[in-house]
Amino acid sequence: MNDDLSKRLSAYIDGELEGEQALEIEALLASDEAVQEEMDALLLADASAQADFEKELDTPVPFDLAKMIMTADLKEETLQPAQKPRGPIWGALAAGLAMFMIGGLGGYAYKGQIQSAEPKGWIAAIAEYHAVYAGQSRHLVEVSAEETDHIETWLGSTIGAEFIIPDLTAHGLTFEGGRLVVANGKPVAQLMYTDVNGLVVALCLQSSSKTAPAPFSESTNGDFDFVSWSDDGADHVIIGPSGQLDLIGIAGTAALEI
Amino acid sequence: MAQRHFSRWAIFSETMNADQFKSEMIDLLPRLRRFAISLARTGPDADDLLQDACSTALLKWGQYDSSQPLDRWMFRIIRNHWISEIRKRKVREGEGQVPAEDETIELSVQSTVVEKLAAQQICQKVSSLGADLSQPLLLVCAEGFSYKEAAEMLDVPIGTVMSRIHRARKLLLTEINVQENLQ
Repeated sequence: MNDDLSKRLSAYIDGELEGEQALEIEALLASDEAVQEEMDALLLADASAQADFEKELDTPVPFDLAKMIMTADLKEETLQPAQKPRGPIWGALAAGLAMFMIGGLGGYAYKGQIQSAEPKGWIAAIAEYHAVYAGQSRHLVEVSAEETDHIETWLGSTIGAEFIIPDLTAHGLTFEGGRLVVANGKPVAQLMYTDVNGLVVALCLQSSSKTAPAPFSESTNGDFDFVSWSDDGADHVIIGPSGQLDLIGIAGTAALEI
Repeated sequence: MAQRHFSRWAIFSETMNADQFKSEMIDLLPRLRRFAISLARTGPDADDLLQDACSTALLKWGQYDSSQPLDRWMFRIIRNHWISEIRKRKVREGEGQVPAEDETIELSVQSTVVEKLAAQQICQKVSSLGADLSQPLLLVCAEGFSYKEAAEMLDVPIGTVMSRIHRARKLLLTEINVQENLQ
């Protein structure tokens, strides 16, 4: 049997052929015994696959998982069909804020002002580091992700702020490791992540004397975008290539987990 | 031919509140677990994958576009989690960074003998297929998605979906013939 014809028979089973293509197959089935035999064989394989897949539905799902979903504390809001984006950043801002607000951060209240500006202070210094390190592949980090516990202990004690390395895989980011840098005379923990395209995102934090949390603030220097916030005695900033990633969404997840 | 599993709320409602979202996600769990198995191949890995994906979905539910079927959104989340998991495993195993295209084609073909045996206990002949073949077969034959929809979910061309489903059927046929000859 011609492989191309067999492939078209397979597509015919799936209802993927229309018009003349389907009529041609139907004519062959009516006139050519070998074609009909091939079709029967493919249908047999299909029935076998469906029976196997159907069996998998009989496996009980983990009760704890169903319970976790049922008891999850989601902010009561009605989801609406997506509107056409007015601009990429506002879609990202809305999504990120929703996620940030849903999780709650112990009294952290969004005051409605996401600020957008040029990076200043320690963030400007971090930008210079990031420009250098983001270009590194082999030497992206000082301590690799294999030593997660050590990174948390070492960098946490050095900067004077405990943290947990956030899992950002939901955003397609893989944790690669960490390094210690200095900005404005203070130690900074720099946690490095990469996406499947090799884009580098850094989450940096340093201890802070601020008593009140500060909301998300956006800034850009043209090459990189930044989302910064303060909470739990630390200043944080997420840095990534300008306009290419949902940094607000990433910051929302990081703020919940760190 | 398989019946399409329609997403209840996506079809009949264009809006969704938190309880509806959670309720539909629970209804989907058997199918989501089946999809997770097609990737992870073993029950424990599939359950871990599903747990992570559901946690992400609950966290990101505000980003869900309720005009789109929830199952498709969930399948994408599960798949993205699995790609990340494979990348982490490869990094841990010292293979360093892995290009995305390498991960998406043969996500779990590096099964150990133990994993293969476990997979065979979960399902029958489809377990002999690699994830690259069983995924499109599952989405089209069991879930009732079109080639175009499956291609979008798997990030591959429609022609690739068509070829892989055909190849999967031919391999299953070989497996059936082998088993018949043994009997």
